[in-house]
Amino acid sequence: MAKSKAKVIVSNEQWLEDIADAVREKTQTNKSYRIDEIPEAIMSIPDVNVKYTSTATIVPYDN
Amino acid sequence: MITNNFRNLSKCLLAKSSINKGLLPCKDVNGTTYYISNLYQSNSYPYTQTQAFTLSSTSAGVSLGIGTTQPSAADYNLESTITSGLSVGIFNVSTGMDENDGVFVKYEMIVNNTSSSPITVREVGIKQPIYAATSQGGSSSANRICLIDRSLFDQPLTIAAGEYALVTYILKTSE
Repeated sequence: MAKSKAKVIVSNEQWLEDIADAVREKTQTNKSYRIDEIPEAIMSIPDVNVKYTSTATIVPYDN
Repeated sequence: MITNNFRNLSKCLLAKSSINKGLLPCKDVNGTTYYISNLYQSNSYPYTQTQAFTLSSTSAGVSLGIGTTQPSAADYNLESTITSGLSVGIFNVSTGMDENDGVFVKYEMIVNNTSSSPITVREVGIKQPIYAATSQGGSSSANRICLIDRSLFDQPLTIAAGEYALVTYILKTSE
């Protein structure tokens, strides 16, 4: 991809704006990315891992 | 603790496995390794299904035990299943979502010590059928009874002869 110093935020290309919005949403920042930085920025988004936990309790029961 | 059986069951959700095509391994309650096949085969489910309490160490359902070893993902059965002296009159299962969008399944049961001696309960686990082949990519599939979770109680409880206990067992997801 060609190097560009143009910031996505000022691009008039809708698809770039969409990507920029997605990156901002995922990273929870308002940082602007150079076009050639976007793929790396997306790759750096931490994975969302689902964790499974279990808990068990046993107590006397007055029947 | 969720076992490797459940972890691999979850991974298999990514791929639609054809019937009789074993993918990732699972271990049945006897410790025999099989390979997970069709997740939707009759009576085999990729989730915890509503089950009953069982005194059998090799049957599907929720079991109690006296084992004290810390749970491990490699566990394939309870350490020491209680096979007599207990009965469960009330067995409730509920599912839902918590405030953080975690999904939970909750088992609640009233356990009665029907024996003439005290019984100390220390561990609990869930076993369910998983449709699995005898070899990876193999075709000899059948439902295998596999442990998907084993947990120690926060505090073990000794149930006196004739007395009752309330067991609450919750599996849930978080991010």
